Amino acid sequence: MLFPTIQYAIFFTVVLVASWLLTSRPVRWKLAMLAASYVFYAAWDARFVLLLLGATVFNQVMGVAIHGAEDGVRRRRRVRLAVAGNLAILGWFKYYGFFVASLKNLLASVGLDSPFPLLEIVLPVGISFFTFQAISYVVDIGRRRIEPAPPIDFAVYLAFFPQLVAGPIVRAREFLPQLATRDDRRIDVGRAFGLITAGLFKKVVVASYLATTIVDEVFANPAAHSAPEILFATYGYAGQIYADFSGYTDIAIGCALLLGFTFPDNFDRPYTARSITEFWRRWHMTLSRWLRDYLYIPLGGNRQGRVRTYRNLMLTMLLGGLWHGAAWTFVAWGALHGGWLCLERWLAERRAERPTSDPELAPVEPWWLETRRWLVTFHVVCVGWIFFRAESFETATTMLTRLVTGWGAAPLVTPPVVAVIAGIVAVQFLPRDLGAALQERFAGLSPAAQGVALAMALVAIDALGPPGVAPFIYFQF
Amino acid sequence: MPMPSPPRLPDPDTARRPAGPSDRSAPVARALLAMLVALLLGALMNADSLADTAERQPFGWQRTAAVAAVRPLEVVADATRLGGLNAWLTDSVGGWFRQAPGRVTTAGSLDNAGRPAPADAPDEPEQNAQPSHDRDPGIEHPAADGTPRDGHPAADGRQRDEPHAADRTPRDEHPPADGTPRDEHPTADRAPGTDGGRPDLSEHGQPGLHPGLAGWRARRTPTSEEPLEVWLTGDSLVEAIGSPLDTELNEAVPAEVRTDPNYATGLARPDYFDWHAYAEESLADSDPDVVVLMMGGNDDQDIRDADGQVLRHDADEWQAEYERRAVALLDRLVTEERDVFWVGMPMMQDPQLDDRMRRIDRIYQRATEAHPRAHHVPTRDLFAVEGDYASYMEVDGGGVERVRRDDGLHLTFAGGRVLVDRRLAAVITERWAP
Repeated sequence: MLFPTIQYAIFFTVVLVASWLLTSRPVRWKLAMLAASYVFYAAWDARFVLLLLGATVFNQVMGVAIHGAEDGVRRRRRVRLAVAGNLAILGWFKYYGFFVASLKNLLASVGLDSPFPLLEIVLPVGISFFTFQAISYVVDIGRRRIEPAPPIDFAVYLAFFPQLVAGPIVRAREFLPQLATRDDRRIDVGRAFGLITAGLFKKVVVASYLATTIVDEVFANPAAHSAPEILFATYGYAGQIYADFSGYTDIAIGCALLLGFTFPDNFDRPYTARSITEFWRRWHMTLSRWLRDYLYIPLGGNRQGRVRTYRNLMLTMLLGGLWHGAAWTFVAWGALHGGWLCLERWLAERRAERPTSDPELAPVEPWWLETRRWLVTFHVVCVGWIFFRAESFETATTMLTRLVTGWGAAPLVTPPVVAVIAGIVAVQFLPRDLGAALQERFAGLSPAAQGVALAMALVAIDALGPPGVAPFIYFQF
Repeated sequence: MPMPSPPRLPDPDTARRPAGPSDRSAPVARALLAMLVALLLGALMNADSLADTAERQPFGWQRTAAVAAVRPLEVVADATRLGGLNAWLTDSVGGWFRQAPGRVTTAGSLDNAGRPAPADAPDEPEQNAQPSHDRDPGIEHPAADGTPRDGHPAADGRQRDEPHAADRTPRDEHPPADGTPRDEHPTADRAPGTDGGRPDLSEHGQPGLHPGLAGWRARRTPTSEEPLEVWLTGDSLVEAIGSPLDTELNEAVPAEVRTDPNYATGLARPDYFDWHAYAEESLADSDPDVVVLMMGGNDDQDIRDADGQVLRHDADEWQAEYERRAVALLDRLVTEERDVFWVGMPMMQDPQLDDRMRRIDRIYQRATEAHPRAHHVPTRDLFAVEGDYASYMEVDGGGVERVRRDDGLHLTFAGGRVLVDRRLAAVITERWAP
């Protein structure tokens, strides 16, 4: 059940009415939300509701066991066991085939056979997201940051449908307190409906348009396309994946708001970034901080010397790349980002070592230098997207090669395509207050006027977008 | 000009909104009321679009219920003219926005995709036609709204107000494109004594060429000035083939491959996309030497015959009607100067779906047997290991690669390469390489 469908609109309306009616009955409210979330998940594949249920039971049992550990050593052991259990589930469903195939190829290169058979395993949608949420729960209990939640609360947290299949990755310590003190009698309607409308527009109109007019065709057969087409298909994919994923999380956050929950932001105009470091503070922010808190810092972060800091950065980004998909192209994407983060860190350290490195005394950067940094950052990100989108290294290298060698006519690069790509980047430079001001005005309208405004928006989205809806890109992760 | 300066960078950890209600907060009942008004008004204003969506569903009780639910909205929308804004936007801004670039071959389908079945079509019996194997969507855009699973539905950006192609083109009643009865194709261009040099496909268990064509040769020799023109079309399955086919063919013969997927289409629903009309109109604009077809993944659903009768997908009548459509499509594609290669369905991960695809594949095979220049290219054996479906397999050049996508249906690019390298390129170049 995808967000931009009539089925979801009906489903969510029913859930919102139930939520409203059950506001004063928290236990029934939780049971209703849990049931709704399982129905939502079962719409993809009912079998995997059992997996979700199993993950819930396992992590709740482990959470209680970790909390009950008498000393730090036992606690850490139990945390490791819980994390290993979660990673085993994720590894089995998502990475088994990838690792066995890679191992087979490696062993075959030295004339050996792999003892592991290749199996047919169906990937459950959203498993990467709910596994990461579960890990945050047991680790935070181990760190004494939270206590085990009542089972029904934890079950609602793990399965809560707005963020179940593609995030944002909400931590237990953000969600559970809101569940305990939930009060949805008053909600920020301007922000909620603003996010939902913007998310629908980004997904249905922008992402679909870019995918169907240039991106899919060029990535399907880059050898048949000229350099300008490949360049704009790459820009187009940058726009598409932003519109697609941020559109999804906008809708998720908006729906959660209507149900009385405040989720963390997941995007903050990432294409305004002037360094890759900054990019990762703006792109998929809930994943960035998850990787930082549950991977980078446990690895030692930047507190164990320069070399280990670089190693930790690279490892974090390589594993972050692999999280996105079981393919070496994703690892390459992570390596590119990790390598560039290391380079930026190295340059920053060199600057800091100079005698006149006091930031107070540093001259203000001229505009052209800032523009250059923005351009470099944007294009590094775009090169990364080539590996992210390409199904194989062959496709990626063909794209990169044709960028240099394939100059020729570019019938796919039309004014509307250029305008949409420029538009999706340009809007990120608009003042943040602009959206807030619109939401403020919307909130001041009567419910009937709000309904009319929203209906108009639905008409525009329907008229501009193609019929039917493609699934969100991040569902596969 | 200075770059616009973004505000202070938030730390991801603190980038969250205040938890409590803000000044803009309102009682949830007001939000609910606004939402209900929006949905009701939006449904009326988008009634035509909702009707399209409902009618694109596979035949069965869900479609029946959806169509029945939408019909009153259409009546009210017509009476109040609330649909006018959507129609105006679609015709003006939407039309411009959806305008496909010149080389996007799916642009042709803008004019060809059919509107949903006419409102006065007889209601279908309630049948459990929705396939039970809809799986997790993958990046290749399986459908989300009940439309066929294999691609972005109407990714072609078709315009809703175009007349139904099927209304313009009597379906399945066209004579063969060359005007020759099917069983009377001339064999004048048969080159004597040209059996030699044909690749031995017997190792794959099935030949790629029509049995009667062992000695046939292409009428012309492609050159770099006039390369072999290949029109690769079908549903989303063809996406994975285009690039390797282009590469592989050009190793043997100068070739230009035009990859033209029409997502979420098939022969089952000409009310949604009329392949017969599309083929005719496409061939009116171009004259490829070779047509490569691959489709079928969306066709395991009930179909409606010319009399409006809904035929269950497991009925004999379904097979007869489907075969009639397949033959009729070949009638439009095949000429005495053009080869058509119909690539069969590979093995599917879901056993039920696999059964249906195998039946469909047999129909394709029978249909090609009716046309001397149409050839069935079997693929079931290519993507099976020890007779079973395989997501991973050893590929040419060594190594194990993933050849099928997570949906258990589509090929990956590595899978497309396997199909091309091990079979498809061979059967084409066997006829066209100098």
